[in-house]
Amino acid sequence: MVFSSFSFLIVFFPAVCLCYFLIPQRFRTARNLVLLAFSLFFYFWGESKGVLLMLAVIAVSYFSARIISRAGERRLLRRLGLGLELLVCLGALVYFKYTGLFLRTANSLFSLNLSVPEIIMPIGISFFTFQSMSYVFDVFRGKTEAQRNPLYVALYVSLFPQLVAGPVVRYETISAEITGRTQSFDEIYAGLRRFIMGLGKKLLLANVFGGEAETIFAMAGSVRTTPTAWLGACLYGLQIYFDFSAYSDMAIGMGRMFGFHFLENFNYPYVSKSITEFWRRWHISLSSWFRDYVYIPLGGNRKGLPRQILNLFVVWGLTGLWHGASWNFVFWGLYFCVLLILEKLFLGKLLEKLPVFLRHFYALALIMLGWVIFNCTSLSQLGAYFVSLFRFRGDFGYALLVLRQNIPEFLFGIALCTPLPLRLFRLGKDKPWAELLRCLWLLAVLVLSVLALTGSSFNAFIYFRF
Amino acid sequence: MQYIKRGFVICLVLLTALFLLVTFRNRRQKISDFENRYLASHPSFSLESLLDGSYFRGWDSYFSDHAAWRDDMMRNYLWLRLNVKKQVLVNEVMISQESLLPYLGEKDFGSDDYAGLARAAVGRLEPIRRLVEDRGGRFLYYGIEGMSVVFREGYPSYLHTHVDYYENCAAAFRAALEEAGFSTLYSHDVFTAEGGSPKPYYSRVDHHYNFLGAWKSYEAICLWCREQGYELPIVDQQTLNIQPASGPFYGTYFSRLCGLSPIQESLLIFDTTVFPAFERWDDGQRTDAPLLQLPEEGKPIRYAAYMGGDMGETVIRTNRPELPNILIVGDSFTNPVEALCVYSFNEVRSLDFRKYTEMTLTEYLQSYPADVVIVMRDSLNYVGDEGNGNLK
Repeated sequence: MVFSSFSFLIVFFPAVCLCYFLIPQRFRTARNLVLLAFSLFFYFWGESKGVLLMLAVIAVSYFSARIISRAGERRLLRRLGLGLELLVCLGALVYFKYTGLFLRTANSLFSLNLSVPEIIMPIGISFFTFQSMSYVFDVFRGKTEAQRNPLYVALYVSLFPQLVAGPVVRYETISAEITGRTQSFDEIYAGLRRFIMGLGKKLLLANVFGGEAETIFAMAGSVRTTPTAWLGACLYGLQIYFDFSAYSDMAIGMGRMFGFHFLENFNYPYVSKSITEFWRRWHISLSSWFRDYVYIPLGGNRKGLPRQILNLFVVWGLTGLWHGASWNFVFWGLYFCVLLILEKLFLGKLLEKLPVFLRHFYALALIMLGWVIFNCTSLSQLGAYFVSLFRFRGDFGYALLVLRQNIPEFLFGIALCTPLPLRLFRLGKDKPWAELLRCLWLLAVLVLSVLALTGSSFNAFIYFRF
Repeated sequence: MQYIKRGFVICLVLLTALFLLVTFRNRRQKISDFENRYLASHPSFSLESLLDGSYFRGWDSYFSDHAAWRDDMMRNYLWLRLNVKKQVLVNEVMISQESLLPYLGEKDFGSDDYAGLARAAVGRLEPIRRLVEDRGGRFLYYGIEGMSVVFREGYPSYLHTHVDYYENCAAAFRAALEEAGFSTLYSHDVFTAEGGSPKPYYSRVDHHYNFLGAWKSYEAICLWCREQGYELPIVDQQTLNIQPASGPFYGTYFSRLCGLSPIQESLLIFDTTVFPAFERWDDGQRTDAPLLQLPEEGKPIRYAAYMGGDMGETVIRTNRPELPNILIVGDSFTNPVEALCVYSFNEVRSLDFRKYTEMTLTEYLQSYPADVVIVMRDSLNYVGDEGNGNLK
């Protein structure tokens, strides 16, 4: 079930809200149980068999954390607990997500004939395994206490707003709120507002950009002209941003309605002036996960430059692989790794001397090329797309049609890539007329979103299978 | 300010409740007229469907298809696209001054060896023609110029219409048929025989010709049959009393615009009482279906009104053994021509190999030899090798 579906909007979400808010706030445990039951049902709706795997991961995470917590100073036992967690989470991730990739690669590299099993990857496995691991890592490192109540661990891992497409929420972010959150009408209202804005971003922008980008990426190389190819890259860049940030907005909004405060996952990444800055602003929860649980434990920048570069390659290779079981994602990760290293070594200082608009252009052009690598799942498709980008065949016909067809989306989309609309939205903050205007705006966004949802069947979240 | 926020939340709650209520009362609608398809029905519960996920997917489709005020919302969304966003390409339909056109896309057709493609297509027809003629019958290829080719000036100059490809293919195909000695007729020649444009013979909201175009084609086929020595009656336009139907015509492109098309048209219908009595079988089943199947008054009418739409096999017997038997092979262009042929032939058979799978055409002809065999194809599919382009 995706958030931008009628099943969710008119049945599931109202049902959760009804059951949740009918219970008085003082019965926190009952409210938590409602959320847990609905979260499991939400997952069961989309992944009826995968729910068993998620429950197994939750159980192992709970026991691993308990083992670590009770081990005290006994290092072997602590490591046993951590090892168990890593074995199950990484084992599940590798088996369900990467078995096919590894076997196919081995077959082609070593001319083997290994049979490749048809393994269906459970939705959201990358998110719930990473969240579970972060919980056990934090307990291992003494940053947080092991939760005694297994239902609360289950609630943390399976909480439906962030279950299938993130953000990757740390246990420490919401541990206190699981047991002791206070809720107010203002919080519910703010969460609802954020949810509607996310829904609008998904249905009114991401889906439109996505439809056009899909057509351009599916074109044969022989008919895709250079302007069309660049437009396709930009459209895909806009799609993936609005798709993913919309999902994060909806997750953060719903979380807030239920009293949870997830951290922001995006901070206007396309206003970046360098790739380093971009990665501080894009998918923040995942970048910080890899920084805290892979890069720093590997030594980070504390063991000299060669080791730091090696660490960066490992982290970015894994970041790429996390996004999908295909080598283009690894290339995509390594592409950014190389750019980050170059910026660290000398490019960063060079960039600082350039005018701001050139720095924006530099960052955006390289980011868009990165999205081409991300979206082309085979080397032949990637090669054909890059030929289209750089062979300079200038026929603007189709590109003009796409631009002409979607003028409002482009204007709103580009504006929403900057903080300007949010500042406008907050104008006259405490004035009743401003609040009334905001409400009317939200109502308009909601009505248009529902119209778009009805009028369009293109409704798959890009990040749904990650 | 708090009262505004509370008002907004209450308003949303009430709207959601109303939406939900109307959605659940919306169960009676089974068909979407705009989409020309059945709406999703309630998923049926079983342990298997629950575990393989199809049960919940079924609910997703159900809620999506039965959402409150769905048709109105689709129309409103489209209205916004047409009138506010001023889109010229909506739901794969290009809106031009004089017609609705299919968006042909930025395609790569692969081979530009038109002569080779044409020879291959004619090569596939050659054994069929030989079989028909060896058994004393007559074989005719009737080529129909595609609607998007006829109205091609309607496409904006910056879009690829692939006219070059289609025209080159059509020219090569005609040349190959001629070289192989096929008897041929082409709609373009038939429609423009008296001078003028072929446009009056085409629908402007559907991808087929209109009934006038079908009648002209039928007349040309009958005249050709007479040239081959068959005596047969031909029904004229006055006798048929051709006139526009009263309900809205939901042509292929018109329905994709949810009826908000700036171009509207009526389906042309005819008087079926002038036809002889007949017995009919569709896909082997005896049926009382008439030649023209009109919906209730005021309901949308589709091209499928002619003969009831596409069938794999239709057999119609008029029990007039003095007249020849005809077999028509082709896509939906054949439907109104089949209806008209009932007037002129003893037995009318039609095959559509997109749907008919029981026998190959060769096997069929061995079982049911016809006096006249006609293959009808539109120019966009002359060299295609799928469905009726791959006769065996």
